[in-house]
Amino acid sequence: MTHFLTTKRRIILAVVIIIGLILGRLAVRIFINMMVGGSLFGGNIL
Amino acid sequence: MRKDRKKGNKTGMFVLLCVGAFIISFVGSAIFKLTYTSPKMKKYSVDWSNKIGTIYSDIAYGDGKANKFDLYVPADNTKEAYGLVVYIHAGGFTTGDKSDDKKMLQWLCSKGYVAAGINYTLRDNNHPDASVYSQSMEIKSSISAVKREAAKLGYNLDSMAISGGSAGGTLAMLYAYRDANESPIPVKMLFEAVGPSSFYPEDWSVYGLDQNSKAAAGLFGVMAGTKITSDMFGTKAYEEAIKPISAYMWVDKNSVPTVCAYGVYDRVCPFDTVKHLKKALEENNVTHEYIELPHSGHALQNDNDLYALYMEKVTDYLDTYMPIK
Repeated sequence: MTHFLTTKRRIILAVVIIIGLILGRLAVRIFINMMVGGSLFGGNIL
Repeated sequence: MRKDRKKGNKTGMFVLLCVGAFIISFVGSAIFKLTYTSPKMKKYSVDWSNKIGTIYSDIAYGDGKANKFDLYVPADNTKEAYGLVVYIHAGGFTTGDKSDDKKMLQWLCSKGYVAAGINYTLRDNNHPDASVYSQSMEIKSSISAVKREAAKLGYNLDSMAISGGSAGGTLAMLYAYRDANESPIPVKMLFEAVGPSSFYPEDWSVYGLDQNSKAAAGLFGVMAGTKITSDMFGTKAYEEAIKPISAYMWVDKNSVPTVCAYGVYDRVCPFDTVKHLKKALEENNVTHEYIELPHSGHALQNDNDLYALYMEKVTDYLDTYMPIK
């Protein structure tokens, strides 16, 4: 397992997860903004 | 050869792992975003039980099918007098129900107020003549029935606040600024969010009404329940025709203290309409809190801290102008 998840792969996996978390949040914000208005960035972090 | 194939399998597995991790984190983050409640907002809801109060539903106040209200009365019925807080539901004057605001009404009741959610005749296929004006008149007519029913239950109402969101905000403002002098219960304050209070085509550009005066005349005429033609815009005749539903026009130096909140990016109640209300409150020295949410639209959804500030101000105003005896 350690051999499979090399340091390089762990970093890639972490980046993929972070991108997923950010895009998931942004997708909801974009959808709601399209319905009622709102800016894509600024305001709430969560 | 075998070594290369083994290496390829491992790479494939890793790619699959990354795809799975991306999907799980994407979906999890989206669900979290949809269901997250700011800790600052949790104090504005209660776990309802009969220890807090009792809900009396669908009490009639008029002949219309929609002329019904729900009354939330606190469990403690020993006081000489109670404050009433009316919360009017949202829904663009065409949809919505008093039950949509159950959480808000329960919270108000838990504070010791008699709370009322009032329905009004929505404009739909069955009620093509319903308008913002007719709805505001229904709300106006409902308050004496609310007072009477509360008295029957042993709650004497001696003061009231009126409030609402969006369409409900507009109707609350009309009652507070236009009808308060005739109210059977003295009106002490108003709080509302994202309710339109003015109707000028140039402010409604999000609907394209600034470019199409015929459409503007049609929409505003329907809302006002009167005939408005495009050539009336900019004339005194238009001001007179639209005044019955333009809450800001009724603001004067005697208007009740007000807490209001608006989103700068609002695409439902155009933000450009807000300047008239703001100016009227300032020029008439009405005690007020105007809270602007710079990243939010109609749901005030992108500025949790400022929405929490709105609720804090509502609580402060209730404590000041509607103190629990």
